[in-house]
This record gives sequence, structure tokens and C-alpha cells, in this order.
Amino acid sequence: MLNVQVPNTSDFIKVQTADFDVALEYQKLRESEINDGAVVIFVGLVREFSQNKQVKSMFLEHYPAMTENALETIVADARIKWPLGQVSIIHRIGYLAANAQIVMVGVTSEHRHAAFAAAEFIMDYLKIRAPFWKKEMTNKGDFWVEAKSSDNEAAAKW
Amino acid sequence: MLTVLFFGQLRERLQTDSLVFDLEKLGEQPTVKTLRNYLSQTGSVWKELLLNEQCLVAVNQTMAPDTTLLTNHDEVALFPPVTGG
Repeated sequence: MLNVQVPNTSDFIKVQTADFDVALEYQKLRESEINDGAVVIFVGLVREFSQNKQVKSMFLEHYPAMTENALETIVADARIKWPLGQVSIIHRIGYLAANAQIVMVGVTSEHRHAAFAAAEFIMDYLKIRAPFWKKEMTNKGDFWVEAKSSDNEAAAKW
Repeated sequence: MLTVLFFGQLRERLQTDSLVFDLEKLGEQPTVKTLRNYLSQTGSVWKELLLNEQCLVAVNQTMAPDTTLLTNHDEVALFPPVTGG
């Protein structure tokens, strides 16, 4: 038999230019999994200072044909490791101002340990597997963000 | 024919976001590695970026190693390490 992970079609996976409302996304996670006792939501923001440079804005590029599949595969891998209810990922693209929301990962499970772990796992793998690239527009010029070896180490721990 | 896509800093420094490529130029048993070697002859920046071991490759939207065999109509994407999240 082929070992193919079929993504849970009820997962919310979105790549969008628009901002998102965490309260609304939290309500969606709650409505869809009424028996789960734990909800963990992580939100990543554009940092205003990066390596002694002041970030005015950021541009996020992605590989549209690949991004959603890459995110679905990461969620499918998380579902093998933990009993998860609902999973939600929103990742923004395009131009973002300093302090803007970039990414949200929301996970529900019966208990907190699985929800915390799965949210961290999904972010760790998103950092090294999902085809997004950031460019920072700063007071010292425009710079493509370099990948960090610590991101590979973070994902390797799973 | 192959479609080759470039993203992020590669796209910007090569001043190319995509190109269409005749697979027959790579000879028999064309692989990701032979494609990288062939395109790196385009110029010094191409050589620097495409032969860099940090350069990542996806074939038909899935990450692929250098040994991956290429077939007609494949979509090959070349890009630097990802920095989302």
C-alpha cells in the first residue's frame, strides 16, 4: 500500500495578503471541536528591530503552487504524532508593516500537552519547509532575511 | 520542455523569475544536478547561486534532491533556504 497522508479537509489553511482576527479564528477553532479541552494559538509578528536595523516594512514572497501542499504535509505529520482536533494556519504574504501579524497557528486537542507540542512542531517545520521568503526594508537598506541554522536545529528535535 | 522557476534572492539576483528549458539539452538521464550544472554556465552569478549547496530545489512542488530524474513537463523551482513564519 502507498503510504500517502490524506490531509484533513477540515483544516483551515490560508495564505493571504489580508490581516486576520485572532478572536474570530479562536471562535472557529472552538466551534469545530466541541470535545477538545485545549486550544493553543501562536501568532508571529514583524519585529521592529532586527540585527540593529530598524525595520520599516517587510515583503513576503512565496511559491503559490507549492505553499498550501507544504503546509498540509506539515499538518498531516503533526496529526501522526498527536491526537489533534482542529488545526488552523494563516500565513500572510506581500508587504507588511512593522509590528504587523505575519502568521497564526491554532491547534485544538483533548489535553494541553498535545496542543502545545503540535503548535510548536508546526511552526518549527513551517520555518524550514514552507516556501516563503522575507525581505526587510530597513533604515540601512533592503535585505533578504538569512535562514538561521537554529531553525534547522529546532525542527531536528522532533 | 521544462519550466524552471526562481524565488526570493535567487529571482532577484538572476533577474529571472522563470524560463522554459529544452530537456534534451541535458542529455540522457537528466537530473536536478545536471540542470544546475547546465544553468550555472549562464554566467558568474548563476554559477555562484546555483552551485551553492544552500540552493534548494523542488520538482513538481515537492522538495527534491540533486539525484532526482527530470522528465518532460516537470516544473523545477530553485530557491534559497526558506524564511517564513
